[in-house]
Amino acid sequence: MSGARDGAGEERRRAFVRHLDAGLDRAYALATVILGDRADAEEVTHDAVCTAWRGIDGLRDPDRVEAWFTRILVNACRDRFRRRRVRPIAMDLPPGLPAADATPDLATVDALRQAVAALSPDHRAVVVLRFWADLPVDEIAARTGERAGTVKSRLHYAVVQLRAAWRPDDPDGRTRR
Amino acid sequence: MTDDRFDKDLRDALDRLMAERAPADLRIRVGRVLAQPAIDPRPARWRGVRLAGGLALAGTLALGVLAVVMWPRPSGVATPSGSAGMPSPIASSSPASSWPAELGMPVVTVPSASVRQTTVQDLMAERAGSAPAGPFAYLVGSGDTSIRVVDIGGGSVRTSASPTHADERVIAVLHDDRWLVIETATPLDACQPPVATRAGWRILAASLGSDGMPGAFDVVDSGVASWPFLLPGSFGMDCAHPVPPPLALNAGIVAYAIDETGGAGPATTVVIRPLDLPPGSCCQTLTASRQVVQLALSPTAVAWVESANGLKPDDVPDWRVVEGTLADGATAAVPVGETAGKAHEELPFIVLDGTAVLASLDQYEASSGTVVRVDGGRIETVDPGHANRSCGAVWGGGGVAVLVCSGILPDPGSSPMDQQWLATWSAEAGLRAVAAGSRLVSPMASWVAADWLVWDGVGKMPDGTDGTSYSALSLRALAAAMP
Repeated sequence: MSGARDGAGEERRRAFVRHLDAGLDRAYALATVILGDRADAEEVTHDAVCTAWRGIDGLRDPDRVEAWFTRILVNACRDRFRRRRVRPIAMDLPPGLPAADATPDLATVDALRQAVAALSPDHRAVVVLRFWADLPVDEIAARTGERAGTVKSRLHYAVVQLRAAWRPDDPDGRTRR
Repeated sequence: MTDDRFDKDLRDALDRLMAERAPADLRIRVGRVLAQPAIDPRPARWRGVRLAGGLALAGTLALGVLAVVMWPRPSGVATPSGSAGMPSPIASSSPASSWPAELGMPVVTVPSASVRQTTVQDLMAERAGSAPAGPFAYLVGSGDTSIRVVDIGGGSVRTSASPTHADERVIAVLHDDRWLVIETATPLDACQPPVATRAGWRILAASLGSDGMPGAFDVVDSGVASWPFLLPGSFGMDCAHPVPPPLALNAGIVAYAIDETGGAGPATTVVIRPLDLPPGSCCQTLTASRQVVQLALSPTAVAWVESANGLKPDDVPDWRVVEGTLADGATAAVPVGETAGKAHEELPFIVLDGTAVLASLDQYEASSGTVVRVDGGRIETVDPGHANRSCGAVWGGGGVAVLVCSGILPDPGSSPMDQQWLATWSAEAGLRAVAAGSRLVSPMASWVAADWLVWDGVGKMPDGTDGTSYSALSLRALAAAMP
C-alpha cells in the first residue's frame, strides 16, 4: 500500500513538473497581468510553485494539475496584493499623451490593454481566463475559488468597463472618462 | 462596433499582455525548488540547493530563454474600493472542535454577533437600509463621479458626490470616525526614460456626519511628486514613475511625506496636519534622511519606513524604521532586530500602538516572515515565524496587536489551499487565531478603519444571486476577548 501511495505521489510530482515545463511562462504572465508588476509576479510565481510543491499530495487528479496550480497562483496573487501596501504606485499615461507604441493600428488594442490594467485584480483574472484561455465559467470558478455566479457577475462588470474604454474609431485610442 | 470586433480587439490586447515570458532567474529558482524533496516548505533561496537527486527537469527549466516584452504602464490602484481590497473567494471555516493544526497557534473565540455583515450587488446601486449603524465602507473609484457609502451594520448603500477629477487616479482612501480622506494623483507628462515623469497629487478631506455621510471636501494639500522609488524588475525600471505621498490617518490627524521644496529631493519631509485646522494653516514637519515609503500614525507618534531612492538590481537593499514623537518632534531610528541587506531586502510594514512600533519583517518570504513589537528599545516577538504560515500586523492598540496570517489550511471538499485568517496577540496571551463563533475569521482582503477590521468577500443577495459581502469586526471587542 505504501508503494502504491508513493507511486501516486511520483505521478503527481511528474505531472506538476511536466505542467511547469510549458506552463511556467503562462503562470508568470497571468501573475503579471493580475498584479501589474513584473517583480511581484516573479516572486508570486516562485512562491506558488513552492506552495504547490510542498502541497503536491493535495493534487488528487494529475489530469487537473493546471486548474489546481492556477488556483494556488491566483490565491498567491491575492495574498501578494494584500501585502503590497508599501509598494510605489505606477500609473498609466494620461489621455492625449503619446504612448510608445501608439500607432493607429495598435491604438485601440493599446487602449484595451490599459483598460484591462485598470480593472481590479480579480476582474483581470477572470477576463484573462475567459477571453485569453477560453475557459468556460465553471472552469474559471475552479481556478479562482469563486462561485460560478460570481464569475459571471465579474465578467459582466469587466466587459462593461472594457467596452467603455474601447474606442475603435478614436484615432488616439485613448480611454476617455 | 460589433461584438466580434470587440472580442477580437480584446483578445489581441490579452495576447500582448500574456506574451510575458518567465525570466531566466525565475526558471532557475523554480528548477531549484523542483530539485528538492516536496516536503521542505522553505523557498530555495533560503537553503542550500541540492540539484542532485531531484527531478531531472530542473535543469531543463533553467534553460528557458528570457524574452523581455515591453509592457503597458498599469494603473496600480484601480479598484473602486476603500483600500487594496478584493473580494474573498473562500469563506473558509472549521468546526470549533477541530481547528486545523496547521494554524500553529491556539484560537480565541469572539461571539458571532461581533461580526457585522451586509451583502451588496457587484454593480452597486443605492438601496435603503436600517438606521445608520456603521461601520462604513467608502468606495471611491478613479473617474467615478460618486462615492458609495456602504453601511455594514445598517445595510444601506448611499452615494455622495466625489471630489475627484476625471483625470485623477485614486491612490488612497482612509477614514476614521470623523474624517474621510482621499489621495489622488495625475500624471503630468509622458515617459521619457530615464527621467522620471511627474505626478500632481491632492489630499482631500471631508468631515463625516453621524450617519457616516461625508460633507464638503477641502483640499488639505497638493503638489507635484517628481521622485520615483525604483524596485528591481518593476515597471519603473523602463520608465520611472513618481511616488505620490505616503499617507496615514489617525484620530483626525494626517501624516504624509512630500518631496523636498522645489522637488530638489525625494519625499523626506513628513508633514503632520490636524484636519480641523483652517485651510491654509500649517502643521508640524519632521525630516527624514532618506525617501519615506510608508507611514504610520498614532495620537502620540509618527513612524515611517525610509529607504534610499533609486534601488537598482545590484544594489544592497537599504531601509530603516524611524519614529518621531508628536509632542517635541524628536526622531530616532527604531531597532527592529534586523538590518537591511540582501538577507532582509523586503521593506518592513509598520503600524503603531501609541509609541510602540509593530514591524512586520521579511513578509514576502512565506516561511521567514516575523513580527516584532518595539517599545522604548525593548523588542518583543509577536510572531517568531513558522514554516507553514506568515503573519503581518495590521493594527495595534492597548498592547494588543491584530495580524492577518496566511498559510496552507485544509479546505473541506477540496485540496489544501492558501488561506488567510485573523490573529491577535498580547504579551500575556501570545499569538492566537481568531474565530467568530465556530468559524475562523478569514479576511482575504481587509483594511482597518476607525478601529474596525473590514473585509470583503462573496455573499448571497436576497434573490439568491451572488454579491459582494462586507464584514466588520470591532478590534476593541477583539482586544477585550483576549484571555
